Amino acid sequence: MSTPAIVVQNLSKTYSVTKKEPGVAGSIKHLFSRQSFSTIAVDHISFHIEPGELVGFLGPNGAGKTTTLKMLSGILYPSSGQVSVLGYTPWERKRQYQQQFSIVLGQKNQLWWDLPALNSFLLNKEIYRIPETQFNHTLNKLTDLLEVKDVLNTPVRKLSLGQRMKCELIAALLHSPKVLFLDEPTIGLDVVSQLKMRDFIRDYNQTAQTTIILTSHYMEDVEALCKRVIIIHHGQLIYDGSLQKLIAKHADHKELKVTFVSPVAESQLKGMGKILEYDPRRVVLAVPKKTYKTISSDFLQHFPVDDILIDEPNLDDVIRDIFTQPQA
Amino acid sequence: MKALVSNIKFYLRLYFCLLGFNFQSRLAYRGEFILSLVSVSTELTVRLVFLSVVYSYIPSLAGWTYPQMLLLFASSFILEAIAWFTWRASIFKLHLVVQDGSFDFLMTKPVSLLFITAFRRMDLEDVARVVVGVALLMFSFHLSGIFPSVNQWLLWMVGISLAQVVYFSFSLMLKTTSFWTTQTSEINYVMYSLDRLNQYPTHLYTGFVRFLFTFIIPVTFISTLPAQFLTGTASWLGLLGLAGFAGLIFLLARWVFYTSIKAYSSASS
Repeated sequence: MSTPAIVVQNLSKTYSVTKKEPGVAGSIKHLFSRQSFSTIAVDHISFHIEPGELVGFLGPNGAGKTTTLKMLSGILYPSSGQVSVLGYTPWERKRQYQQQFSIVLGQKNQLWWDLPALNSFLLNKEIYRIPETQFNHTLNKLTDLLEVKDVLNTPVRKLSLGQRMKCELIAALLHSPKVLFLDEPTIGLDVVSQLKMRDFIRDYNQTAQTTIILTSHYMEDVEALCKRVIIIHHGQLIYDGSLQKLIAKHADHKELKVTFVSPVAESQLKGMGKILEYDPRRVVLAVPKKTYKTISSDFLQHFPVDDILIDEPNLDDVIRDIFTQPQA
Repeated sequence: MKALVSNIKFYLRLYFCLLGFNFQSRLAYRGEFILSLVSVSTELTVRLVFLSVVYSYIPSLAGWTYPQMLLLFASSFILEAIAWFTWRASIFKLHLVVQDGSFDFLMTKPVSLLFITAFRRMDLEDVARVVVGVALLMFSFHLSGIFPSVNQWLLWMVGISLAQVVYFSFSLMLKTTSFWTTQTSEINYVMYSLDRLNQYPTHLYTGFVRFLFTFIIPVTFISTLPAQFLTGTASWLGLLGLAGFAGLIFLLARWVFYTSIKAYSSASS
């Protein structure tokens, strides 16, 4: 077993936030007396990531995913806990560490807005001290793969969101980082660009053996890319393991999609399962895994069934279930 | 030693790379660039007209004659021009990168954070300040008929460089409040009004005010001292004092900066 690329132990981050009552009076009051609260963004999380792994970070907005990535990048100082990435403590911001990792923040850009993306790449070449031949080789390869060769000389502000994100990714990969943090790299992209980006990330992880942590709101991204997921909710780690096991564990039901030849009243379907969607001619039910076979045959016997489809619930629903369950 | 040389080379390359990009970036909006040039030129003209009006009533101000005062103004313009060409725009706009969270990227780069923070943005329309500054020097020599020696020029340059360090360090300390408050564009007004002070000689002020403007808000003497090398009224002691002060205030500012970034809370995404 190799040494883990990333080790996180008991990592916590607490922000102090001041609260203000609404309205002008509230603002004036706020000026003189402030009530400050501390919000726990990340609460004692621990995990290990092996070199070359591609791990998905899941959690609703404000769960602490980005905060964790920022601490791993040395952007934020933690309130407590230890982190070692490639043997370095990120917030010491050692050059040797910074030379070996990269972060892509889907909603921010590091490219120079008024200049062609190529300029930003050249700047990174200087900053990361990338030799000329290596730079040209990597740039060629990346622009080929992401199909952005013809826009390299267009000012960034004139690029489409998809093109810009691809260029952001190139800027982050020019120095061939060993560890890569991708925070919502596909946010706002259309389906085609999203797929391209996804394929690229998968191939890149496999060929370059880069350790990647990916956060995404799109479950398809996670499903397609990550074997292992870490789920954070209210700053706490609530799951760390394989994606398949997660679905198996939490998806204790199957989805039954039944179409009828003639209308069926909703009241008649009582006791068959939890109704997810209803239409007099079509119903989607969540039924327990143990009983889905008997329920299907019940349908065939007692209802004017045209067609029955039995499906696994999708990851979105599984995750939603996990997050809506009351916390222990 | 070898490492030091290669480091200096590295940062020089980076500086010129950034300078080039800023130049291209500014020229992307040609209209705005020309307007900025006009604005800077107008500002300088107004300052000079005011000065000549004052001197049409009095022969000297706190011991400074008109040609001498022109040397001080020129030093002040050139000092500001160098500032705008290097660190000033970046420091002025520091609160913006802190607010929108793009400071995140600066923090992850394998270069000196202070360097990349200070030399990211440069305002090139301030080239007008150099042009006017040099013209003023010439005009002043023409009026007084005295041309400084090579020695004086060298000392003047050293003085301007040290003054730049003081100017930078002081501004940096003011702007690092951004990390604590997130919003400090107001500090820029303070900085602008303090700028107006550095074009007048320290000798204008007496007692506590002079002490305040010299050590607590060190903006007034930074042009006075270099200018005195050109007028031939400076002392070695002054230069040593300036060097010591520049060193101290730079170390202090650097410490304040690196301590403050711990308070940086980034922007949520």
